[in-house]
Order: sequence, then structure tokens, then C-alpha cells
Amino acid sequence: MSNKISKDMISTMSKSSLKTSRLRNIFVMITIILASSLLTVILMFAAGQNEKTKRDLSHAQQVGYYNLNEEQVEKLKNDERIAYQVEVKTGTVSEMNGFSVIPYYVSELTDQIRIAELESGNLPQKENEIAVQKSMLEKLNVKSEVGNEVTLKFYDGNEETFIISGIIKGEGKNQFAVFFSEDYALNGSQLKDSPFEVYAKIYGATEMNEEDCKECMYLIGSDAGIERKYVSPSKAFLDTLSINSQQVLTYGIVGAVILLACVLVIYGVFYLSVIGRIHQFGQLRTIGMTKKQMKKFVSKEGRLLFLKSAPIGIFIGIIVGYFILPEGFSIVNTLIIVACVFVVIYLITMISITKPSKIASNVSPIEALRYTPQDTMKNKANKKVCRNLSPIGLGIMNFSKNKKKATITMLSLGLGGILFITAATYMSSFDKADYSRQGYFKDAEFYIQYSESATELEENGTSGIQAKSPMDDSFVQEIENIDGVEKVTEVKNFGISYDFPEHSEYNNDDYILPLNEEQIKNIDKYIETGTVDYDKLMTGNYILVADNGNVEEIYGWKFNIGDKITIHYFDGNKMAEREVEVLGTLSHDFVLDNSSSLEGWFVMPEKPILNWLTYDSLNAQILISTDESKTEQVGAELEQIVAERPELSLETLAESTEIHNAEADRVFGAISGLAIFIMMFSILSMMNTLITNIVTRKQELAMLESIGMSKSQIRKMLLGESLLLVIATVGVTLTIGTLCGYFLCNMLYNNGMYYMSFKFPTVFTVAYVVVLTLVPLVITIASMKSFSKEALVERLRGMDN
Amino acid sequence: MSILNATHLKKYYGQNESLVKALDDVSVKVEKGQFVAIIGTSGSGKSTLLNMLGGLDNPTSGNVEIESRNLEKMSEEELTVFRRRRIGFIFQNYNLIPYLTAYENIVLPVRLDNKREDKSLLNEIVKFLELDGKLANYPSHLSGGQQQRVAIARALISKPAIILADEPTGNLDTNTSDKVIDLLKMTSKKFNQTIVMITHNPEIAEKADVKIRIEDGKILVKE
Repeated sequence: MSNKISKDMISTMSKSSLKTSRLRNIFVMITIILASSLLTVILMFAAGQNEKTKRDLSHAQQVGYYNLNEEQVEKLKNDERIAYQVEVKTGTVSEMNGFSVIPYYVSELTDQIRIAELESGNLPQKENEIAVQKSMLEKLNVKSEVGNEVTLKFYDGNEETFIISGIIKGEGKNQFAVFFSEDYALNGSQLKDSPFEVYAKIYGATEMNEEDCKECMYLIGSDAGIERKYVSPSKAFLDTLSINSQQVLTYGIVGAVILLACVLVIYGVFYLSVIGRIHQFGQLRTIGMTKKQMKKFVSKEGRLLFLKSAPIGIFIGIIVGYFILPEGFSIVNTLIIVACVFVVIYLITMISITKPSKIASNVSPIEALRYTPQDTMKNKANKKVCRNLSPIGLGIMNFSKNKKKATITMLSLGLGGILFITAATYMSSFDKADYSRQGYFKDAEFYIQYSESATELEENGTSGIQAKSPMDDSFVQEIENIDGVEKVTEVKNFGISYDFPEHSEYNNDDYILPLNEEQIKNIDKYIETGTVDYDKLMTGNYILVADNGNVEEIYGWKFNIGDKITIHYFDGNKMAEREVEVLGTLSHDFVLDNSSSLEGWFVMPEKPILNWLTYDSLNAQILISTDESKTEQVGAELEQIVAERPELSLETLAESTEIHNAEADRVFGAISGLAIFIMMFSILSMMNTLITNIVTRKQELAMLESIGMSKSQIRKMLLGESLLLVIATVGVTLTIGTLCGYFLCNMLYNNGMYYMSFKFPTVFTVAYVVVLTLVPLVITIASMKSFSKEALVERLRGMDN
Repeated sequence: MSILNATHLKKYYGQNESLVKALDDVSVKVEKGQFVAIIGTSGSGKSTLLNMLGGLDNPTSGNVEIESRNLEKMSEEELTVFRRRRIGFIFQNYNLIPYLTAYENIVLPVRLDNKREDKSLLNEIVKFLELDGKLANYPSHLSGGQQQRVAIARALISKPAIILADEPTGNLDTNTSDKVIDLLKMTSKKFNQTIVMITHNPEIAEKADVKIRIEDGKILVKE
């Protein structure tokens, strides 16, 4: 009974105490709100992404089997391990007037493996039926109604008329899928020669581990007589079967940083609040409050503040989290997250106030009589008889008298600052222009390559087109002559097909990257296995392999030194073949350094290749750099030139930039959001320190004023203190933050993100320093103004009032 | 020559029925070198009077002149500087700055005035107040009597026109109290220093040259 009375009393005291210190409450509450909302958002985002992937994948295939004949399709159909399957045929892209069309056949439209959805009508049944998108019909000026006729002129010159059986959902822009019937798939000009593909879902796949699942997919394939290379497990699906340790690590680090920042701020606020009330605690101890009760008193304050603010933060977090990724929202996930965040933030709050409540409970009654706790001061000053007593000097003295307080503030301020500067460095070093200039656009604004339909149409494959030399010297010359073209780079790649009987691989399309003399001389540094014997290579009987790791990933085997490969190519007159031996393999660095030209597995000198051929151009791509002011003009001319050559297609940097910029903006948005959140923590902590510092010294400041310290001197003193804090923090932040940013950029650059080049974030830094300097200035002036409303005598009377 | 001349000081709080007259038409004149004690019970208005005399608080009406300078006519900043140079304060709870040593506390008003302390005067004061050997100590490591002596030294160092002492012995035991009062009296004589002290203790007041008794905001007797 008596216990309950004291409990009630402590509870009443905590509540009243909270009412008297609004400022501290606001700080703690904002901190808890920030932490809980941020944590909720991050968890909801992570869970939402998983949920979204899961949902997306629930409508997608887990594995695709390609290049199938009818017998293989039949075998798959009868395989009981397959839960759902859809047969598909894909034809060659045909360019129409300003758009392109891809012919498809699908056996059915099911929700399990969603390839397309019907808006109206049905999938085509008869050979002359077709299902298309409304926007394509608009381009053809055909009314989008079932039953209407539409005529398509295909890449091979065939012109066919179909009756519309159904309208497909979705708005295409430049490329449209056109669905044909089964009869057309078997007999129609655009699909009869295309092999079947089967998209499938496996029974129990979601319960398997990644390796077992992959093995099962390959086994089903091999049982149906399908080569391993034509089995393509969905990487996205397989990823869901294992925990993505990198993702967990990233979210873990972000979460830990937020929690740490939160602990520092809440601890700081309560620590300063307790230090400021030592007097009051002493009095309470004098009248008989036990240590335990004192602890409870402070903890209760923390708990009350937590209960008031955590629900607000979590609510905000849910709203923000929902709008960031509405497609990934799930009530069950949200409820679990809410429970987790509630518990974690509660623990964090309680941990943060453990130490302050301990300090409170250790206050001795005698402390009530003292002006400041005795143990904060040494017995004697050790150095000078009299230190610098100017206002600034006094400020510095006060700042350094409580090292712990200064350290706590600097830690939370520094941590936030370091993260902020690191994020800022990332953003300023992220070269958006370079980002869109990845691959072919590295130094070019345009690139020209063989169009897909031309390659399909050419019976001798890519080398067949190359033999016609559509990108020969005269073509290059024509481009060079365009006003505004600064540089034309010819990227060479020799189109072949190869047989590798050892692994039963036949007639695989591929490319050989031809190297000039200088490149061959520098190839030594990339050698992973084997040797580079220049003389051997120049005979044309030996070949190098790049990206062997990827070969293994796709085929399940690797090229080895000494392997014999037969290559087929068009020599200008006929299809020729030649046996070559693998002389060495090249490291991943070679792949990274030649990312814009390496198209296949093989590398060899250009000279011996040319000796095999009657034609002398191995150009596969033309990269065009232009004068910035004339890019548009050059683009228009290039479009014309390319339009005259149906075997070529033109890609532009402008299109790439549009896509990449949107992507970069999304990343920047997320990073700045996080950085600003963390900065707010830090500034909150700083404001708390500054205000507490001034408020708890009200009497001392009044005392100084009474013995003649002028207001401007007091202001100087207080600013001196905060300036010291700011200088120390800015120093630590800029050094460590910039270093972190620098290493991050370097690390990313070395991992192939060549658009990252370290650049000091000047604007962000100036903004950071300005905010950090302004906050103390405003707080000092505002606090002093609020003091001056109270008469000096009142303030002199002390803190107890 | 009068150092301090306060005329018709009034300090009223509230209005109508709740009007409190903390000071009601009080006039005080103090001559150079005098040691004046203002005595009164708790709530009699003696502290309010002292605060008015030191420019720490503003009267509702009336004037305070120190060395013929009217405090009312000074701006806040001027008043602060005037206080620093011409008025010394001694408080009941010493009001020393905890993170400054005794020495630094003593010289603080002079240094704030951007000047160097008069070394010989400082030595004289320190010797007189028996603070040798304590100058490097922080306030928390000084006894109450020692802290009050540091406060007296601080009040003396800038050679003020007047020292205002607010219950300087309020926190001290009888023995130490006596010593401090004797010191104050001796200070007054030695340095020809004008001192106005408030106290509620009649015995302490007896040691002053002039006693002013105040009750309910009015001066009852001046002896």
C-alpha cells in the first residue's frame, strides 16, 4: 500500500516536472519522433521492397527455357515438377514508320506468369488474328476496336493484314508487342522459324534454397534435352531465396547509426537536464527521497516522454513509408515493424537515461547547498596565476571545464556531420553527366551499331553484314564531314559463331575483340592464367578469353588453356571455319577497362583476323563526339544518314541522359533525405547543449552582470564558447567526413562506377558551416533577450526560482 | 561630501488592492568613508533598497545619485560599466564564479574593464584579508569565510566609490561573521572606503558608523 502511495507521488512529481521544463521535453520528444519515424521509414522501405519484389515475382516466371523444339516443349509440358508454364515464341523486331514491332506468340495469358493483359477481346485463335496495343493502332491510324483490320509491313518485306481479336493493356511508346495465334506461330512468316521458349514456375521453388532450386531448374531442362545455356533461371527470383547480406548490412548500418545518434541526443538532453537540476535533486534527497526513488523519478520522465512521442513518430513513419513505396505496403509487415520500432526506441530511451538517472540518484543532500557539484573542479589551478579573463577567454574556460559535456555534444554533432559530409561528397562526386555517359557514351554523344533486324535478316550472321562494310571508311568520312563532329571512334568487333565440342556447344553466336599492336603489347598486365606469346597470337591460331567468370555463371563450365574451339565467319566470299586454341584468360580488370567495346568472350590481334578476310573493316560501332553547341544539329544529320542504311541504328546520349538523370535524382533524393534527418539530430543536440548551457548559468551570468560585465561582453563570452564547439566540430567533421567521402568515391570507382570522381562538396560544406555558426548565434541572442525580460535582481536570486 | 544620495525612492508592485509598497518614499544620504548598516526584518524592504542603490533594480520613482551621477539617466550599458568601475558588491552567497580561481575572481572586474589590476593594491588587500596562499584555489575549495573574503577583495580591487554588501554574513557562523564584519569595518577605515551593508542582525549593525532601520518600506530611525 505504502509502495503505491510513493509510486503515485513519484508519478505526480514526474508529470509536474515535465510541465515545468518544456524546452527539454520538446528536445527529447523531437529526437524520439525523428528516430522512430526514421526507423519506421527505413524498415518499411526495406520490407516494402521485398514485398514488392515478391508480388512482382508472383506474376513472373522462375525459369525460362529457350531455343526449344516442339519435342522439348512437349516434354516440359509433361514434367510434373513444373507448376505453371507458358509457351512463347518471339520474332524479329520490325521497324515501322517511327516505331518498332516485336511479334509474339503466347499459349495463354495467366496471372501466374503475366506476360500481358487483355483490355478487351481475346487472344488470337485464327492464323489471321492479332492482339495489339491501343497506342500502336493510334500510330497506324486504325480505330482500336476488335474486328478491325490492320496491315503490318515486316522487316523482311512481307506485308500482311490481320483482324484485331483483342486489345492489350499498356501504353507503349516506340516499341510494341504484337500477339499472334498458335497457328500463326507454327506457320506464319514472322514466327514459324523462331524457336519456342517456355516460361515456368516450379513446384515448391519458394521453399527451396538457392542452389537446390537452380539445380532443379537445370535438371528439368536436361531431362527435356535442353542444353544448360538455354536454361535461364530468374536471378531476381533466386535472390529472394537467399538473404542478401549486402542489403542487410546496409540497412543494419543505417539503422545502427540512427540509433546511436538517437542515444547520444537523448542521453545528452537528459544528462544536461539532470546536471541542471542537481540543486533540486539535492533538496529532494534532503527531505528523504531514496536513491531508488530518485532513479525512478528520472526514468519515469523518460518513459512519459517516450509514450507521448513514439506513437507520433511511428505514425509519421508509416505515412511517409507508405508514400515512398505504396506498391510494397503490407498491413502485416507494418504491424510487425510498428512493434519492433516501439520496443527498440523504448529500449534506446531507457538506455539513454540510465546514466543520467544514476547521476541523479547519486546526488548527496549536501549538494543542494552548493552552487556547483564539487567534483567538477580541481583543488587548484596548476599553471598560470591568472588566465586570460577576456570574455572570449572566459568562454573557452567554461567550455573546457566540463569536458564530458563537450565531448557528448561533439560526438553527436560530429557523427551527424561526418555522415552529412560523406553523403554530400558522394553527391558532389557523382558526375551526372558521366553517369549517363557510361558504356558507349563515355566520350561520345551518339553511337551507331548494326540494327537487330538487319542482323536477323543476314544469313551469314554479323560478319555477313560486316563484309558489306556499311561502316567503312567512306561512311566514317561522311560523318566526320558533318559540321560540329569533333571525333569519330571506330569500335571493332568481329562477329563469329563458335563450336566447342568438349561441352557440346555448337553454332553459338559471339564476337572476337580485335586488338591493335599497342593493345596487344599492354595485354600482359591483364593475364589471369596462361601466357601471352606475341608470336603465337599473331599466327591467328590462338585466342584469349575474357570474362571467364561470367562464362562459368552462364554455362556451368569455364574455358581452359589449351581448349580447342572452332570459329565460323563470313570471309567475304563464303562461310569459313578455323580452329583456334585458348592461350590465356584475362582478368576482370580487362572487362572493366574495355566495357565499351567488349561484346563477346574472345580477344585476339586484329592483324591475323584481317588476313582471313577479303574485307578490311571490322567496325561494329561508330562513336561520335560533337561540339557541344552543335550536338542537336549533328543528331538531325546523323538520323538522316542512318535512315538511308536500314542495317544501322542510331542511339543518342540525350535519351540515355533522360533515363539516367531520373535514376540519379531518385538516389540523391533518398541520400539527402537521410543526411538531412541525421543533421537534424545533430543540430538538435547542439541546440540543447547551448540552451541548457545558457539557461543553467542564468544566475552566474547575472552575477557577472552585477559585477560589471556588460551585455556585449557576456554575448561575446557565450559566443566564444559556442564558437569553440563549432570550430572543433567543423574540424572533426570536415577532416573525417571528407576522408570517408574520398574513400567511398575511390571504392566505388574501383568497382566500375567510373562516374564517381572525388569532388569536395563546397556548397554543402559552406551551408553546413553557416548553419552551425548561425544556430549558436541565434540561440545566444534569443536567450539573452529572454533573460533581459527578467530583472537582474530576480536572476541573481538564483536557479531555485 | 556625500557619495550616495538617494531621494524619494519608491518601489511598488501590483495595483489597487494588491498593491505592495516594497519601498515607500525612502531617502538616504551616505558620506565618504562611512560604514552604514541598514537593518530590518525579513521583508522590510532592505534588500530592495540596496538593489536600487546599486542600480540592479529600477525604482518606480525617485533618484539615486552616486558621486553626483544619476543612475536613472544612464543607459543599461552605461550603468553596467559604471557598476564595474564605481560600485562593489558583496553578496550573502558570495557569488564567486566557480571555474575561476580566487585570484581570477578578485581581478575579474578590472580585467573586464580591459585594464590590469594595481599589483600593490592587490597585494595589500590580499594581505589584509589574509588570503595569501589561497589565491590559486577554486571557490569550492575555500571555506565560507574565505569565499566571503575573496568577494570583499573583488569589491575592493577596482577602488569603487561605494561597496554594497547584502547580508554578507548570512551564510557564516558567528565566529566567522564577527571576523568578516571587523574586516569590513577595518577596510572602511584603512581604505577610506564607503560601505553600505544590510543585515537583520542588530549586533552586527551595532558595529557600523551609521544605522538605518527600515520597516514596511519606510525608514524608521537613522542613528
